[in-house]
Amino acid sequence: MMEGVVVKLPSFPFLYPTVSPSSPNCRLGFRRFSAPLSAAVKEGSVSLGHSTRPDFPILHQKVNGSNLVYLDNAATSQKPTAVLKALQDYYETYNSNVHRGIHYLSAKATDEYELARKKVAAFINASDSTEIVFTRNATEAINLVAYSWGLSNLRPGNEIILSIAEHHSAIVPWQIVAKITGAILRFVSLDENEVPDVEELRGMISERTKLVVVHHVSNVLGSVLPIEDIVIWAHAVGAKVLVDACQSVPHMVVDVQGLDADFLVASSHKMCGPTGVGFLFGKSNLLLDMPPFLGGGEMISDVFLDHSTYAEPPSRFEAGTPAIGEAIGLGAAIDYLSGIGMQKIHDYEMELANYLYEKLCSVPNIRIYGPKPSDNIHRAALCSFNVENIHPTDLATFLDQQHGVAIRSGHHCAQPLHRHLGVNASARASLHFYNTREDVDEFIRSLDDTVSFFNSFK
Amino acid sequence: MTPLSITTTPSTLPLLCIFDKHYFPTAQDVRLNLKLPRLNIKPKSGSRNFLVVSSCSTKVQTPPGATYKQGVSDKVKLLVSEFKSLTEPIDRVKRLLYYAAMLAPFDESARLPENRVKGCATQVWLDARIDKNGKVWFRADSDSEISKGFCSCLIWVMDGADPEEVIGVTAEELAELNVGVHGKVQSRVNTWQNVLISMRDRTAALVAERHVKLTHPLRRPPFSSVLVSSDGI
Repeated sequence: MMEGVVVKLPSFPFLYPTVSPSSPNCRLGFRRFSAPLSAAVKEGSVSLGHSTRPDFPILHQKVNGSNLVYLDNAATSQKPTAVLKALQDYYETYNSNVHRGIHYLSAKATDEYELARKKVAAFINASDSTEIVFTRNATEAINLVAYSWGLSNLRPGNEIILSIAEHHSAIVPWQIVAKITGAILRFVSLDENEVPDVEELRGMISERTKLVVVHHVSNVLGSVLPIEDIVIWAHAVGAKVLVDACQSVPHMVVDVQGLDADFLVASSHKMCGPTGVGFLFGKSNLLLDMPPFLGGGEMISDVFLDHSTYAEPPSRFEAGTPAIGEAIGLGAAIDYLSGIGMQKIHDYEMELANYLYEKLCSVPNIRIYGPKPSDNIHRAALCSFNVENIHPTDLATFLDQQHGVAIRSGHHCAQPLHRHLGVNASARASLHFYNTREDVDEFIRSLDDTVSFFNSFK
Repeated sequence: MTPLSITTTPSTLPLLCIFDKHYFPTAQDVRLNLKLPRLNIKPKSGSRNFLVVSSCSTKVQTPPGATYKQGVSDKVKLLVSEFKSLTEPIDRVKRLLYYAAMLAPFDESARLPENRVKGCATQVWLDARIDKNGKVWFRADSDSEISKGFCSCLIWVMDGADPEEVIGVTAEELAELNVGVHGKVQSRVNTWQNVLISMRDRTAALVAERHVKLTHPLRRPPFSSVLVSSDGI
């Protein structure tokens, strides 16, 4: 039987940005900001991007005659060979249904599946692996909380606080459940730095608040929210906090005990794991009290014709045959990321984030959304932007067709945010640790060419 | 295919022939040389015999006596063959931008929510009218130049046609226009398919309003809204 390793990461204290007034627009004379260089990015040594790129076969191809420059990591990340091998190994040597089987293959599959659960728990510093529920993705995880916890805990007049910058998956399930239960949704707007206004959020929390749903890192603005503080304010009134960590877990150290979050969701495919699996972290006492979400096999204890009894968490919330190979693949992704070190990944991406922002500012008539990076405000390595008079879809199409540069255009599942910003759509370039400064250079060069091309038509 | 005659008026712009594969210059050349004017391509009333296909006044004229009964399907074939001849995806993008510049100005009074084409990643407005002869006329606009290019091509195919012909155009026939969307991917960004479906739906609605009997049944029911079906989306 295969021996597995579960890496227990130390918890890192968080740097929470304090908000400083500055214009959201790029100004001329933008000051250069560089995070302190970690060993991986010192001049002369190989950068993390260069050293990890060979592990990602998909990055080494031509698209429309140009080398692929993949800058759509906020939509989905690429997978290292280790993850691909784990998937292949599973399907080639021990694919079998889990939990009930007696035979060798089934026992091995079960062991590996449960080991993957332990790896996830350790990765986010959950106190026990029973606090990890495997779902199809973060969206399903949020729906699980909405339909299971929400329907049984929300009453008419209860308030759920969200920000206008939430992903649709963090808004729509609560709209549905609020309609059923009579709860009210309240939205926090953006402050002058184009970051959700934490002071407004604090002011909104009252004895009527039952839940705060908030992203850790915004997939459009690139901003990071002070989750620890928000949790303290929410818990003071007995409210729970659901953290959408889709854009944070893949890029930085996330410690659910340090944050004291009640629920936290993330998707495997954004953290170098396969699609088809994600997870919900829920505190044990909360999960124990929650009724099932989906009914079926695995989640039951005994089934009679007129009623059934249910299993303990996490099985209670994992109906049917799970994405076994994919969960094991997620475990392999976590091993890969842990092998590099999330702090190292975070430091490198901070460097790249600042570099990307600086270079983007040099594009004429560009408007980058979200906060300007400073000593106090750290941006994630993504920028959503618009160039005056050119539709972002046109930009993205030309970048792809002419230059092989992959970015995203649209509303990025954040229509309320775009409405607030006064635009229908934006373009977004998002990086991961296997991107390099050269990727950013190529993107900017291609973007300049694209902008010139479209401007020649005006 | 109906034989076409081409007349050209003097122009300082390079000639665009619809059969010229490699016409379109590079981005740098475009920046230096090309300034494309916007042209109103709406034919004068009563005149149905010529269509402008390029801004350099090259006119493709259908011979007198040719009817629109073959017109739409011929034009579909012409359009498909033109884009098929552009083997580089970027050349198809550039050709669309070229046609985008030819789109007739959009009447601001028609920029209404009910004229928004649903399902597009960009904003597209489509106005459809039926004239006293029962022919359908379209105007469109978009905040994206590429989407405008699609609209320009589709309007060229179907402007002034019989409603039955418009409704008879299928997504499959125009699959070669998948600019920027490789192969036949069914994706949310497939603007031109959404526009085509909108043109068909609006035509059917106009016809229903006027109680004209259609000879061909609709592929999809009228007034249907957003497009989540397996029908060529």
